[in-house]
Amino acid sequence: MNILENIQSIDFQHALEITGLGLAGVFLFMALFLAIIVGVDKLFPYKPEEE
Amino acid sequence: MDFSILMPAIAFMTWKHLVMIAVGLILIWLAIKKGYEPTLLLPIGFGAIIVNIPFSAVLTQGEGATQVIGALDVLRDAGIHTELFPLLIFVAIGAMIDFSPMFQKPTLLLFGAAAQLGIFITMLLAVAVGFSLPEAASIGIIGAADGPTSIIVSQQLAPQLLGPITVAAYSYMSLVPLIQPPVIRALTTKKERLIRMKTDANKKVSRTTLIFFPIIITILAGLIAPSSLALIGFLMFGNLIRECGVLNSLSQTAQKELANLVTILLGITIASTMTANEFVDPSTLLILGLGVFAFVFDTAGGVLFAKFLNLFYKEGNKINPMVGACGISAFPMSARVIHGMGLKEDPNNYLLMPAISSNVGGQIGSVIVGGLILMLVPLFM
Repeated sequence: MNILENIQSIDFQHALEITGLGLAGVFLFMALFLAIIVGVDKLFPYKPEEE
Repeated sequence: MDFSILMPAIAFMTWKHLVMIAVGLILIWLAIKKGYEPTLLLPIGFGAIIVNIPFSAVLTQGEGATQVIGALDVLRDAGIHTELFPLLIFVAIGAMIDFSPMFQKPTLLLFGAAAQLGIFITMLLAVAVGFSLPEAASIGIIGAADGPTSIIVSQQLAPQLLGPITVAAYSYMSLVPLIQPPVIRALTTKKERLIRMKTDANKKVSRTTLIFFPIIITILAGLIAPSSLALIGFLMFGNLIRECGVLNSLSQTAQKELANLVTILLGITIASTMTANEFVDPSTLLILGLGVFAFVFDTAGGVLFAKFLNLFYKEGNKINPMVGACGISAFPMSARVIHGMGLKEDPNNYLLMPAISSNVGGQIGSVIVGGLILMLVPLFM
C-alpha cells in the first residue's frame, strides 16, 4: 500500500472531483427542498377546520 | 470409505469457515445481548453460519447437469441483484417518516447535506489506501448511516464488497450512541452545547402540503438526477401512502408487515455474500475501519456546519451545534442521542424537535447522496 502514490493517482483526482460535485449537489438539492417546503407551506397553510 | 466423502462438510472445513461462523455468532450475540439492530444483525449472523458450512445446500452447489440451486442464491438474484429488497424497505421507511417536523424550522434540512461530508472524506481515504474509485465510493456510503442506500450503491458499484459494507453500515448505525457524543464534545464548547433553540413546536402543517411534498420532491429529483429516482421515488411513494389519508390500511401494512417480511429476507440474503472466501480478507478489516471514519466525519460535518451558520445568526437565534450531528440518516437514534446530550448539559434544554427535524433532513440527504454517487462515479470510470 503506497498512500503517496495513490494520492497522486488519477482515481484520487477523480475522487476529489466527485467530492466537490457531490457536496455541491447535495447542498443544491437540499436548498431546493428547503425552498419547496417554504413555498408549499405558504401556498397551502394549515387551517384549523382541517381538524 | 474416504472420510471426505462420508463427512464432506467437516473434511473441507477451513479456518476461514470457522472465522466466519465465529463472526456469525458474534453478530447474533450483539443482536440479542446488546440489542444492536437485532432485526438485521440476527438474520445476518445466522445466515453467516449457514453459508459457511462447506457444501451448504442454501448456496448453489455443483455445475451443469448436477447443479443444485441454493435458496439464498435465488433470493440474492431476485432481491439484491435487482435491488428489490432495499427498495421495498424504502417504501416501508417512507410510510414511517413524518416529514412535518421539517416544516417547523426548514433550515435544519441543510444539516442533511452537511452531515454527508464523511461519505466523501472516506471515499478519498479509501482511494488513498488503494481501493478503486467504485469500491471507495461504496465504502464511503457506509457513512450515509442508511442500510438500504449502502446496499444499492455497493450492489451497483462494487458487488464484491456488498457483505462487509452492509454489515458495517448496519452495525455502526446501532453504535451511534457511542460514536457521536465524543466527536461532538471534541468539536464544541460547553457554552455551545448549552444553546437553547427557538422552534415553533405548535406549528401545524396542512394535509395538502404533506401530500404535495413527496410528489414534488419525486418529480424534482427525477428531473435533476434520474439515477436517484429509484431511491427517492420508493421512499416518497411510501410517504404518499402514509399522508394521502385514504390508504391507512396500506400504510400500516407497509410500516409493519412489509417492513418485517422484507427485513427478514434482506438480512439472511445479505449473509449469502459473507462466504469465507469473500469475507476473510484484510480488506474487510480496512472497510470496517473506514466505516468508523465515515460516521465520525459525518458527525463532524454537521457540527462544524452549525458552527459556521452561527457566525451569521444573532444571539438568541443561534443553532445548538449538537443538532448538526443529527443530519445523518440514523433515525430517530441520532436525534435521541442529541436530545439526551442536551438534557445532560442542561436539564431544561429540550432539543428533541430540532434534532428530529435535522434527522429527517439526514434521511433525505443520505438518499440524495446515494443517487448522486450512482450518477457521478460511472462518469469517471
